[in-house]
Amino acid sequence: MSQESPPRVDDGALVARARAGDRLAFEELVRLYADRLHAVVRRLVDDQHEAEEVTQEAFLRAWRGIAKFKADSQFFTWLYRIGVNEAHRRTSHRRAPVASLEEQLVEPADTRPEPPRRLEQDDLRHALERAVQGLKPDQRAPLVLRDIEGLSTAEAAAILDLGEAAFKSRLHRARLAVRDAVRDYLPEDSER
Amino acid sequence: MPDALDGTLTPRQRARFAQHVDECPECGPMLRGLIRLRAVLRSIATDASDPDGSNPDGSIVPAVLEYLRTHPSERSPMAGRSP
Repeated sequence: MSQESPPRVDDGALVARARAGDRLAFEELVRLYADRLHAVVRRLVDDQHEAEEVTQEAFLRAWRGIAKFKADSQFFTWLYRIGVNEAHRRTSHRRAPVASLEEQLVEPADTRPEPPRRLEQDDLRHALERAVQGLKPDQRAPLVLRDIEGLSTAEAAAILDLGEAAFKSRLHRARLAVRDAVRDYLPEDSER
Repeated sequence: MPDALDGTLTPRQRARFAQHVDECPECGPMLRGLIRLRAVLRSIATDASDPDGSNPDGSIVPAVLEYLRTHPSERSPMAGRSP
């Protein structure tokens, strides 16, 4: 999987065929976008199994609703919105109080011998993952879409149905929270 | 700050912001930290579909296609057109 933004392929012909009922065309859209959508959803829900369910359900809803998709917007934006909404729907009603980022970073206790603290890629990656998971849902989605997936501000705000000002505000709070959580792994940021 | 990070300031705004950042003990480190954070966040997109290593097999495409095939669509004209 690359680090590029979602593929900006010309999917218009596939979308048009799918809207007309061509299932094979829709399956091509699945091949184009499923892994990227799954990547986003995986960071918004609690575990891998649920991420798979959400991704599958999002595509089923997209298939059932594609006749109503307005072709003047981007298909992947519409698809991502379905996926993000499904993820939020599943998590919002049962999410326990979210542990603070500090708590997320110190637990669970690691019983292995403590290695020397150093800037290792795995340490940083795991710290980032925990920090992102520790964000409030309304901050997590902007950060995932904008800073991890690399969507533009306009695209990400549209997916979340937010105005750009509100989106930027949430994104900034999320960035500060994650930066604070991984400060020990980003020594260049320690001079303050 | 968000507009500076996203590169959406006008040249004039950018110049003023740069001057401020050079002088401000709070904003300079904050900006540098956020720039570095953004870079490392993009780097973990590579592992995005499997951040905890629980799905080493990779693509979810086969599972989605199977799900679609086993869940009847309400779009009746579609049913059965796929091999």
